Amino acid sequence: MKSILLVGIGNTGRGDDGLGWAFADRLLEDERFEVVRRYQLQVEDAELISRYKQVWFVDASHKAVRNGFSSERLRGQGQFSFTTHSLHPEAVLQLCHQLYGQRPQTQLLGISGEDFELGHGLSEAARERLEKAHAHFMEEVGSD
Amino acid sequence: MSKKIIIDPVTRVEGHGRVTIHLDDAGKVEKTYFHIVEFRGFERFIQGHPYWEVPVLVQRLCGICPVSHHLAASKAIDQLAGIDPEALPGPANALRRLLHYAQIFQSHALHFFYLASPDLLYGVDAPELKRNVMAVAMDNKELARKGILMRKFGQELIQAIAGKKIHGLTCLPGGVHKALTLEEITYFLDGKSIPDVDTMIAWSLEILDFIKEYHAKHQSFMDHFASLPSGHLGMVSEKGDLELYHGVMRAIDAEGRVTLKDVSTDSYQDYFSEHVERWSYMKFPYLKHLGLEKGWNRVGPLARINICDRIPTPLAERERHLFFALSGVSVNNHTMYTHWARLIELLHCAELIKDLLHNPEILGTNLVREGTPRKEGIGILEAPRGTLIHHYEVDDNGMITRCNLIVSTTHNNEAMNRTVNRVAGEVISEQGTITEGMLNQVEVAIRAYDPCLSCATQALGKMPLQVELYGPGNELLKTVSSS
Repeated sequence: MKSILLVGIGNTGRGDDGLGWAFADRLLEDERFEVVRRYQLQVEDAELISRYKQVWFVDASHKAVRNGFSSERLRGQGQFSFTTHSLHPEAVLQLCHQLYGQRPQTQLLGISGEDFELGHGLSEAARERLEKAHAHFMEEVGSD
Repeated sequence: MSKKIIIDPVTRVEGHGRVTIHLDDAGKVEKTYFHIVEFRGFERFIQGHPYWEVPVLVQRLCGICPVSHHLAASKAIDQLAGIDPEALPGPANALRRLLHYAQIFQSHALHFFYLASPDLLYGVDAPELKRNVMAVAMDNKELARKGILMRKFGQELIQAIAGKKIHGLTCLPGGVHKALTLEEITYFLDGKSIPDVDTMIAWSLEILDFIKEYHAKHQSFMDHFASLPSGHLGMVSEKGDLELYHGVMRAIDAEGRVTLKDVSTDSYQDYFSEHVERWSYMKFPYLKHLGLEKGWNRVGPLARINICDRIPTPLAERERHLFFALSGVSVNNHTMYTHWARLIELLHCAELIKDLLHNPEILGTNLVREGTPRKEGIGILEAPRGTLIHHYEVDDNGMITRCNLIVSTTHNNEAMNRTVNRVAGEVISEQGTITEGMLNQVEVAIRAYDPCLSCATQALGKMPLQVELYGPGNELLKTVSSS
């Protein structure tokens, strides 16, 4: 059983919204990680993440940040809204704790996108940020 | 002074809709509209594509019920390839049915546990923060864990057959791509990795016990809230049994008189017409011979349980008898009973899945049949939300020249509009103050239909629903929105 789960979130049909899946694709062959892709998170993902020690959610972000990506430790606390089309990773973590008594170490990696219009493929800027975020991720998991 | 209320977006439904409520000078509800305000137009842009692409393209209509669109389109495309539904090879037919039942099972589990349960557990006037699956999960952990695993069971079965949980690929013209292996089937039977199919049946029965207990305590509410007489439309087998994949079409009126007598799906155009209103992108289908005012029907679980003579699996059939005995009617027009009917279908699908997983035909390798190409194909099945119609015509090169889709939620358009009007009239009319709780009751009524608005209009983009309140001068007085 692998101990690290990576969840790539997004839609490859909406330009840079495919960043989460592109990130996941890069790790598919790496035997250290369990990799899944999601259009959006669902309640049942709480059961999935409960089986791992460490979880990384990777998603495209509309926010522009200094390094082109942000990495945030999630605690799974607070109030969260729910629709079947929008469930925040924090809410999934909170559900995981409530239903399964587990709180895996969870990180949200947001990579800034530029172009979210219809169409396949990442923008030049998104590809560069993907590289930086990937390097950061490898450094972080390598140091564990 | 008259007023106008807007609920925008309506929440815990699939798709984006808006409710507008107009009040007169006395604060009485004058008129209401359930608007579907976005448009995608698959019927149009599918034209010019080769017919064999259609089952893959049209499942992009929706992320919740792509399997239903894939299968309905495939039934139509089979005919374009010269194969009638009855002529499909046995293993291919069994695999498609297994996929279909898995889809209905996971969709009904999703709706009950994630979308509807807050309305039943906390009441229609519960505080907003309570009205979501997060609260259900916090307060009812065992229920939530079972809901998650039931949906997972259905989704993993879809993945085993179609390759992916969402937007997978099963069908090709005249059959299916691949068989299931014994190992894949065992996964759902041995209970080692996930709860087995017998557990799914047991949990379906448990949740039916829950709804029966709820009914015992709240029968008056279920009998009156959002209740309205309507026609009921769905599919039955030639013997009159509940049939979800392929059969004949039957409709009855609110008293049970047959209005459409077991007609072939191929002839649907002879019986149905569609009306358009300027304020909604969703059409209004109706039976031609009864006209627009009397010919509309509800579809989905409540309609199906009303029109069938029996359910061909033993446990679900027993529950059907209890449903009518306990509700005390022979035709049920009470909208809130749709939740109960949906759970009977959940059980029925679990029983059907078990039967198919034990059926040796599911391991067969005779998966495709070829025929003589035709110019027209019609695929109709019962999707989770009701009767789903896909109709295509092609040119000599096999390119789509015409596409007509009548999606389940579209059939329910008139029923949902009348339900909104009824509930608004009862809870909002002549009230001095309009509260968020009152407006939520309008949403509760809509949610009972489990509408999939993105399917019905092919709405692109964001999904939620809203309610608007307007005064007599058409001034916007209040909007309730949540996402």
